[in-house]
Amino acid sequence: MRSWGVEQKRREFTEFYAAAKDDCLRIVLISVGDRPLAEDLVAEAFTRAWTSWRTVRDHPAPRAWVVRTALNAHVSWWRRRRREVPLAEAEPGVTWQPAGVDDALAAAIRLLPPRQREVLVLRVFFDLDTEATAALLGVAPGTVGVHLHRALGTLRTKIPSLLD
Amino acid sequence: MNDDETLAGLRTSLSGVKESLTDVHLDRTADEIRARARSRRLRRGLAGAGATGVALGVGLALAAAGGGPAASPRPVHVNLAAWSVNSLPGGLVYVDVRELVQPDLLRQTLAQAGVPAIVTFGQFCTQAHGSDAAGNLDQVLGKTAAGGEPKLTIKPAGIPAGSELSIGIVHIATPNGQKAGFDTAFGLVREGAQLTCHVPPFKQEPQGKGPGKTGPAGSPAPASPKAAG
Repeated sequence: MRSWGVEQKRREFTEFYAAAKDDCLRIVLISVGDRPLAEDLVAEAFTRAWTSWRTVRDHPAPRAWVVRTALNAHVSWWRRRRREVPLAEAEPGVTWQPAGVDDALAAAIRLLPPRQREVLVLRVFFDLDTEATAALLGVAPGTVGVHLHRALGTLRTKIPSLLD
Repeated sequence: MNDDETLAGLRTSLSGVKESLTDVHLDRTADEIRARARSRRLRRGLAGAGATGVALGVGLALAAAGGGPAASPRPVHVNLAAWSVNSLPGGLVYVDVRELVQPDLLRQTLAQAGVPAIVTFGQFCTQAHGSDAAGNLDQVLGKTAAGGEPKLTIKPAGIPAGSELSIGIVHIATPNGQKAGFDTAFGLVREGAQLTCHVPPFKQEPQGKGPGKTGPAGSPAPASPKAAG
């Protein structure tokens, strides 16, 4: 027999998952450009969210927590893959391009260094301010500002239409 | 154009992109996510001691390809509440254990998948007399990054002919007797050899299973158990 607390936790998580999973997947998909990978990363992030549900439930931006965790998992996944999978055996990347998106913009975002991309995603998709972004990433607000400035500078250089 | 203006433009552009992805859905259910977390806890709980000193998780990818005792396995897809055995493309078999029940059936299922195994739940079993079967577990057990996540692998081709893989899984108990996960051990034993089974001293459950026991609780002590639990 499950306790009431366990049932409540399950119900809360189920509701959050149902409401947030597609949104988080779409954001991560735009960020990594590989749908199977994005699905795995988001599933991994929600798995960690369930494991740390009290923390996530009380977080000021739980969806941002999930996306940030997914993007971090991507970095870990890539490091692990680079270390463990011989290059000759590595599967060619399955790239994905959302219909209607500016190819150059999507590519430029994906080529940003991980931290810059993280900051950009959190600022763009979750409308987090500098302080909230810094709190989520565990860095100083000034660091967020530097990463954002560099990311936007790179995008302006690569995507001149952003200056229009 | 300053950063705020650029950011606002990006927000408009990318939010529109996101909203256009109406056909992109995560099809996994919340139950699947929770099961994944449960499996993760299992694997972590399994890291630790073992009869052979090899610590492995219960999430196993068993490489059924190649020669040796696992030749000509057939695809297996058995999914019970307690555990799952599924053949994967490329001759792999994935095993996920969630509850320690029906070890006989698990052993039979593994055999059908090409993995000769002795499965003991609640105790670890090693060969009673002499050393365990020749063979290097390093040649049998491995790790792969399939799917982007490390999985433990067993290569049946590395199991010497006439040998079996002994898989023992026990609950880890907290000081107050609560089940806190699993611990597992692997060893190579000669087929048909008499086995000595024991409950690891630091993994005993509060029901009173004692070390040195040669059979599982509630069943006759097997001289050469194919499965116990």
